[in-house]
Amino acid sequence: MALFEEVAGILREVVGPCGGCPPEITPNATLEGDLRFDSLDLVRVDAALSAHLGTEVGLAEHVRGLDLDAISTFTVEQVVEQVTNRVWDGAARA
Amino acid sequence: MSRFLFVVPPLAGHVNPTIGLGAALAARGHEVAWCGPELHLRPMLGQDAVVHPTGTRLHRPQADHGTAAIRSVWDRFIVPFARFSLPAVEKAVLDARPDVVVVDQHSPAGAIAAHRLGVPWATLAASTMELGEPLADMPRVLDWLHGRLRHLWAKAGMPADEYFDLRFSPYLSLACTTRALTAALPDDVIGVGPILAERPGQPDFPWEWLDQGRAHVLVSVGTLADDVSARFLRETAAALAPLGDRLQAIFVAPPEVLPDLPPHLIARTRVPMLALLPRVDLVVSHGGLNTVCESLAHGVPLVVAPIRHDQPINANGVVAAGAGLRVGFARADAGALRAAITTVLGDPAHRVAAAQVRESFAEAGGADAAAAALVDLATRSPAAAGMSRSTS
Repeated sequence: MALFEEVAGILREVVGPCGGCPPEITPNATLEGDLRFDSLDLVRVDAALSAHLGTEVGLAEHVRGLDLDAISTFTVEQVVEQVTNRVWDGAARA
Repeated sequence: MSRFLFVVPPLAGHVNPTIGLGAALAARGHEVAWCGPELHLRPMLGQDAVVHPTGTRLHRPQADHGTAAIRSVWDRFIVPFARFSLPAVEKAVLDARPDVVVVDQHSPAGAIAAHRLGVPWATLAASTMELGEPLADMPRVLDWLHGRLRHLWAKAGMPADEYFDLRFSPYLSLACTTRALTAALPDDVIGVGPILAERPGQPDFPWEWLDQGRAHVLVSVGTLADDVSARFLRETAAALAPLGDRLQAIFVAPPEVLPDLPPHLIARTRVPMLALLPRVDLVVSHGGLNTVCESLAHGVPLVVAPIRHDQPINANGVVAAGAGLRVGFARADAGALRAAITTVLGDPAHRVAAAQVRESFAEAGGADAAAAALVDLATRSPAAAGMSRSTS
């Protein structure tokens, strides 16, 4: 869960400050529906994750390549998966 | 004299431009008529307009945003309404015998009917949602959208080998924006700028309430009654509450949504927008093209909080033009909104940039330019030749 907490912390930075709309960042929370992400938020999170981890996460590109329903229902857990796929696996192989 | 038939959806933002365009065509001696749900159109068009009714289907007000809103606008509105209205639209084209059908970009029934009956037709884009293919960076979503149009084409019994992109007429496409605001406007679409017209039945306004010594802010985020809209309005009211010494603000919202406002803030369910704008210094908007263009046509800068559809595109256009700032609709709190509002009010550069967009609108020509292009199409394409396929 350490990685989840790291990702959730970055999402919280993007989602906040928030005027009376505290969305809970759980693994099943959807970016678009629950956290009310717009396209700019996705780019901000991508940049923040990439800066934090010191490597390109490619989150925005990954999400935009999905089909419509997969984009609408993309979850926090899937953000963690993308980070895992791009960063941790890559580091392990290196 | 030529005859023009507007095919429009029951949405004020799409009907309003046809009012000014219809008036410009009528002033040149041409006949104009509308095709759409009379229940919605009649109050906007007035008693004298010729309306070929399509009947009305109930469509739930949208509460979605982002890609979910793309699905719902096509699956719950554009596609079912086009299928439902196609027979009535074809009948209207046959009855009205127009020289040119003017098809709202989100009324593909008009494109199918005009094509099937061999009548020249023009696209009128009242939103920026389809201009310059903004979904191109989501290729599977774009494929899905084209799939919806092909589905409509097939369900209408049209031959697959004749399919074309129903959002753009092969004859003429007009858009109610300019490249100064919408840089992605394709080369073959004529940006005529906003088509503004006085609308019948405008509400009263307490003009004596306006204090000439203070700045004026108009807050208009559409007619949505969901909790996120109410939150945004309350945060905006909280942002403006401490600024009574320097501004007054008008919220276009039911007064019960914003109880206990201080004296420098008022809420009105409806306002006479075009009469009010010359006295307004800043508009806070969700970024619908009508509101954005009406503001910029008066040289008024904006703070835009986009929710769905073309609103993020318009918000980015306002920012790129230097005519305002974008804030997060679901997130911006009173502090962030106060900062954005005072920044735009305090920096004359935004007003200068808004005036430059206003100039681009004036050059584009609005209703007169659109009318001239349509009359040119009618003259090029005599209806007698065009109607040949209608009597097979």
